[in-house]
Amino acid sequence: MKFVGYVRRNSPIHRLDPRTKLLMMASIVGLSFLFPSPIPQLALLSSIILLSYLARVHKEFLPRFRALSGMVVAAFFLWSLFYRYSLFSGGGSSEVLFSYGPITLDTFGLFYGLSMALRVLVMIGAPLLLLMTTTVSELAGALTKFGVPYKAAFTFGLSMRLVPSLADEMVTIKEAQSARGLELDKGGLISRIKGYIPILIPLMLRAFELSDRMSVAMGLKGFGSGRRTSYRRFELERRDVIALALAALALTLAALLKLGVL
Amino acid sequence: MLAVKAEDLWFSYGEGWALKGVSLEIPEGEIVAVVGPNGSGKTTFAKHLIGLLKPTRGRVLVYGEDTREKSVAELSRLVGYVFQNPNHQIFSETVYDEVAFGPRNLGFEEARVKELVESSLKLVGLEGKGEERPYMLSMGEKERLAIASVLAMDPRLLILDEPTIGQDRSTMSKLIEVVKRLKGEGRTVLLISHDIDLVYEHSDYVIVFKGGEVVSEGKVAEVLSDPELTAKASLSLPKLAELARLLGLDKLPSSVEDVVEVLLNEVRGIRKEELANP
Repeated sequence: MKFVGYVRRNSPIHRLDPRTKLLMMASIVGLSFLFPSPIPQLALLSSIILLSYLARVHKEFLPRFRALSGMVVAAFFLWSLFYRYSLFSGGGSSEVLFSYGPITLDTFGLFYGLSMALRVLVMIGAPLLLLMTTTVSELAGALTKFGVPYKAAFTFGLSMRLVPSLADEMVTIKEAQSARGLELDKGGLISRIKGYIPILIPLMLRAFELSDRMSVAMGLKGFGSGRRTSYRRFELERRDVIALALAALALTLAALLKLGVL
Repeated sequence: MLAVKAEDLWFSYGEGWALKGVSLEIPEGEIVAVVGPNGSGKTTFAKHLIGLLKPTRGRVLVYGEDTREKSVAELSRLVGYVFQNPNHQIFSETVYDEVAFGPRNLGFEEARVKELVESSLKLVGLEGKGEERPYMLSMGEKERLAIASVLAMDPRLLILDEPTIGQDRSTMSKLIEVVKRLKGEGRTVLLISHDIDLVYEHSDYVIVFKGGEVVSEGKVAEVLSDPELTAKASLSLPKLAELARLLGLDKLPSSVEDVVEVLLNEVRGIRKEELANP
């Protein structure tokens, strides 16, 4: 199973306009930045999980959190023990629970570490869910509607497609070279790094070859031959308005909370 | 001695079975073809022989060695595997260094490496090109370079995965020549191919895969001349077998010359009769 990728389903989330989904994702990520404490992060995470149920992709989506568990645990320990060395954390009133040399664990650290660990899930979960419910061409279309030049949006879409095929290429190259007696997990650091040369050189050349061939294929299909029309029409429907209104409401509430009005 | 012995080999990539209980034996010193439709398990089976894949169930013995207990690097002393696309392996500055990569990995002395590189370049018809840049070679030459770089490791079993795709006639006949010479040296060659006529004319044994199972195996002429079986495995009947069937020959021809001879004899017979009774 690939980590990133579109999952075809018939769901209200899939039917949303890609622009709506892009904005929702941006609001979730933005809110996660604004509120570095566990409860808001937990609320954002639950809303992502709820959205994955609405999109009927929870069976594919939730297991992917398992792949992030190492990162989450690392984030928790790093931030709770070392938050005071960070440029961005303010710190607050707290009680020291444990101290040893430069390592200090206090209540604020615990609190901060927990929210950072949750934030990892939110920051990766939201874009992941977007990519599971929106095709790359829809996203590229949404980007052009937002005023991104078509060539740039298309390049974005293309790079999303190229990553998995290059990963496949790398597997084949690795197999071909190990069949010639190459051992990657032998020797010291230097010889291990050297061991990757027979893999990286063919991979690089294959990448050039693939992109060269792709550019020819695109040229043959008339890419860049002037103004382009599109079959796909982007129109905001009632469900988009509802979804955007909900996102706007959440953002407004958050802004008011931050400003201390509420 | 047996080159390969597979015992109830099952393999899964994660979902479903790619190989379902494959049991077979490959004798040493023969040219053995593996045929079957796309996705029938040919390459999956071949990758087990050099340990790139390990059995989910069952086992594979290569010259008596259990592949589950050996690394790919260890098995590469016995088995050479030439991948389809030579661009997946070429990385050196010179043809010589490219071919020397394998034997150097196996820890051979430089004098022995030189000997192996030169003899394998000669075998594939690239002698005198040792100082050239691999990327400047033609596609057919690159394909033969890939074969040479595996041959230089002195394998007893050589696996060629679809070596004839996109090759012109002359490259193909050079390739066949190489395969025959390897057989002459007592090596075993496993040829994965879709070219049923090539297989019919140039290999000794054939193994037919379909849906992860071996549906038939045996002498090429016997297996591939059975129209029922070839249809079952989505293969076309080899042209020579088709010709023999249409002519109603009882002995299967192994080359075009055989058919011509039968026909000529027939014509000569008719002529003699005509001369006898004008």
